[in-house]
Amino acid sequence: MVTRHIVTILLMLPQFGLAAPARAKDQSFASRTETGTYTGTGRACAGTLRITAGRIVWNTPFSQCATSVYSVRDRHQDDNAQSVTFILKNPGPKCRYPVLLLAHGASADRRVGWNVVGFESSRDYDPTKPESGLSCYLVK
Amino acid sequence: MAAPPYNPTPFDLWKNTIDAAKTDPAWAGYDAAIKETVDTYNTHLASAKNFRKLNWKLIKAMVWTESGGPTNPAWKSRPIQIGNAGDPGLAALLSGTEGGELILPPPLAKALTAKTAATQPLANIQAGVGYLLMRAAKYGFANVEDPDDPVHDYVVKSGDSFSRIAGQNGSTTQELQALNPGIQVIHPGQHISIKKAQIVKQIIDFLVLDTATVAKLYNNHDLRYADKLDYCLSIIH
Repeated sequence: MVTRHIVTILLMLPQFGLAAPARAKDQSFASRTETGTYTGTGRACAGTLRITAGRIVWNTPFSQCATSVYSVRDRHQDDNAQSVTFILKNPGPKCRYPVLLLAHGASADRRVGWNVVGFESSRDYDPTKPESGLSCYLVK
Repeated sequence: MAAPPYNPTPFDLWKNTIDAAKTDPAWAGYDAAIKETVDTYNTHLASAKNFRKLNWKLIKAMVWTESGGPTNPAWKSRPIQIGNAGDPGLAALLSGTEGGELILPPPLAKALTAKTAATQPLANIQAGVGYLLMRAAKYGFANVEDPDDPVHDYVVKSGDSFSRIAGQNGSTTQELQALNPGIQVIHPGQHISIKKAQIVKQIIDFLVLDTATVAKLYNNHDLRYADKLDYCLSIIH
């Protein structure tokens, strides 16, 4: 009964001009433009990267990152590009790339022009050296 | 009446990427390197049984398909995407035991390392082509005579066998059997012919590298890989 009242209050908050706890605006989670299913191509990148507000799963031929909660390490956005770095918390032993740098370039079409770079650890993470990880072109 | 919503498949979106970029001169940035690489392999393998000259445009189509183009980081480091962590392909090519030793032209065999192939775009393309050809070749073993060694007379000693004589004289059992037809059993004092020879791994056949075969050999997870290569080839001039 108490729970139902709390849910009702949260749902009504926007109607009163009050902000409910919104994950999309929380920098700890993927934004609406980042969530979705991405498809990679080719020898090392064929597979899917699926991002929701709370979980990420990324499967490629040589690395399988099981569904995992994540944190956001970095986020950048300007008029021409955006990028966000996710750190997977528990992606499983077959995951070679638990640190993901997802970026979108200047393409007006949000379905194309994505790239993800997977790094083998936080220590290996360097956004200026994508060649140190697995770099995959993606469509969404 | 409203138009039906456009719901492109990932393959449609991938084609959109190619279409949007095909007039970008940067997409031709590796053409010269690809042609040179393919020429080097074609020359080296010209005498291999059933080898058909590799078409450089097929490799260009692979580079486009694998990298997604010049705006992506892979284009600048691993444009044909061999040598990523966990991928056994590059190690197989460089192992010296899985066929790469026959496929790689000597200058490339000397220059290519796990590090250069994984970090330098030209070396990555060279390694990717080498891996593809290594997978396309079939291998066998053959007895090869030493052309500089004449046939010698040998007197059989106590305890000798064809195998022992071959091992002690730089020859092979097959060679001794070929030089001494009809001799099943040898005995001390018998004269036989010997000549140096060795068993050599050779290329005995090559698969035809159409796009479906390339997809099967180079990539077995992207179900539209052959379609992507076909599409690239249709617009590469």
